[in-house]
Amino acid sequence: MRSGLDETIHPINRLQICAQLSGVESLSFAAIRDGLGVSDSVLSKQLKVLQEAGYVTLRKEPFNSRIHAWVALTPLGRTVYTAHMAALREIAEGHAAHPPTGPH
Amino acid sequence: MEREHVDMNRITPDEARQALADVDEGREQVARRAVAPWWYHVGIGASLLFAFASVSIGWDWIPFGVVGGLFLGPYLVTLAAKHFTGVSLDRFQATPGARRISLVIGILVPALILVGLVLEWGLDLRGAMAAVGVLVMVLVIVLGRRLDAVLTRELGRPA
Repeated sequence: MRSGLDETIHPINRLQICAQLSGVESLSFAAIRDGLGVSDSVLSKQLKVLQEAGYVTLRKEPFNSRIHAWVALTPLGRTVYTAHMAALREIAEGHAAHPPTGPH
Repeated sequence: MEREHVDMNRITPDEARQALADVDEGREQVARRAVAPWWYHVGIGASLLFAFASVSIGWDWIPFGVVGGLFLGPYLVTLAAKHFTGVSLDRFQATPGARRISLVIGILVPALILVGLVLEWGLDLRGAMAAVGVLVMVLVIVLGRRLDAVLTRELGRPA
């Protein structure tokens, strides 16, 4: 695999989750769900994948007699996301190390 | 649409550009959400006003002013804003522009405290600290709005 790219982060929903988390300390589950425009179950599934990879943490916090879940990027998640973004930028600028092969 | 099965060695420049555009959109959404509700800066300013005014009210009020106005009030307002927006961030330090504005607040507020104390205790001018508290509240509201504008711009900046 191309250096810097990460299969776990690349799917669009997971990449957007990491992008949303990259500039802040944490985001509420609801804020991420609304930002992506997906259902709770879809977001839970994506977060589970990121959590199992060690890229995000999920923290539950009681507030106003309800439990709110807060999601944050881990240092590993931040590193992988930054490297993935750098690799994407490189490809976008046309410096791909492995250009796609066309039909002969 | 979910792109689960992408050959990571075969990502084209167009796909990469699309992914980067998606990322920018996600960051812009968070930047818009990060804007504090209108009552946030008012609440912080009012807390500080209470702390300052406690000095003018009397010695007995100073501990309440310090605990309530400098710690408890700002903490509760920040907690409420965090749950209201769904965004947790240190809005005074999150971006370079926010840090510059925080530095201005960090210089002006202690300077105003000093002026207020000199007027209140040094020159025995009753109510001087409360008046300075009103100034600080206005300063916090005005600079707070400026800080939000900078945060929105810088958090939403392309990655």
